[in-house]
Amino acid sequence: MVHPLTVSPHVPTDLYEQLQQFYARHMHAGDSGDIGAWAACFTEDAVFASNGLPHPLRGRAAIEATARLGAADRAERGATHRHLVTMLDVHRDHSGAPEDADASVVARSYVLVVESAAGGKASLHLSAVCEDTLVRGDGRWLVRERRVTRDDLPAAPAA
Amino acid sequence: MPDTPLAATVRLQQFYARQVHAVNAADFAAYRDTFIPDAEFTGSGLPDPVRGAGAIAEHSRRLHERRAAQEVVQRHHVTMTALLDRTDGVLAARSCTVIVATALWGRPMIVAGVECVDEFTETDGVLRVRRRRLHPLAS
Repeated sequence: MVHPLTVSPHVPTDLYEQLQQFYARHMHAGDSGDIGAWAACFTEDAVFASNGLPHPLRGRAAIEATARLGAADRAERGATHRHLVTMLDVHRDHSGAPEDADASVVARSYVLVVESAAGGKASLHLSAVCEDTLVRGDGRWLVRERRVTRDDLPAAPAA
Repeated sequence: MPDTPLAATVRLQQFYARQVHAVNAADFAAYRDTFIPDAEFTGSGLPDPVRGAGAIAEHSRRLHERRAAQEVVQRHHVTMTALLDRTDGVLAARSCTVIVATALWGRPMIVAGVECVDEFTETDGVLRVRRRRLHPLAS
């Protein structure tokens, strides 16, 4: 019997390339300190959950505020983070209404965070799995839901 | 219609993403099915080739159980995938794979780096590895 993983259709080349570009720009913005641009990649009502957070962040404003705290902490320490997104796997999102399958996708990737201290060496800081549900809005992709599972922490209990 | 080189490369990126997610998430049934039944796997510290998708998956499962007992999570990062020119029409690619391991409460560490050369077959639109050769990055 063929496992469903290998027969699930690959998404078209242009869609995959769009999402690779999305993640590159999204991470470049956050890593360069443009937290506003990074947060603008989420929908207004986005949810950001992580086993590194005590509870999910709800809404773009809350997500942005938390990200700004992290950026301020790194600035104070003189540290820079670079998020490397690899192993991007994209599927059409069939969890909602049938018409949503063409408007939203589910993307899973690995994220390695490299930390560099001012005048210091770069080192691996964090490894995580990122699972996003993305939707189209204003002619671009936006994250509606993000779940980050850090490899160094216990897995979050199932919702 | 055959894939363009870009389409073929993107298709391989998606293949590797699904294969790696399967093996790192301990879905060995899915991982097994990314190889043809009589696939061959050489390198990675193995003294002899491992033959057969079942044996390849079982080898990975044993290694996974050992890491799980030590509360270590492993991630494969397959990068720099390049199509290889073949005169026999076989789809083949070379990649650089970095393996990162993270212990519970620890920081990630690079535990291995390998060059991976894969040959593929396609049946009913499904790609599978028929031969995998791993070479250490350091010669």
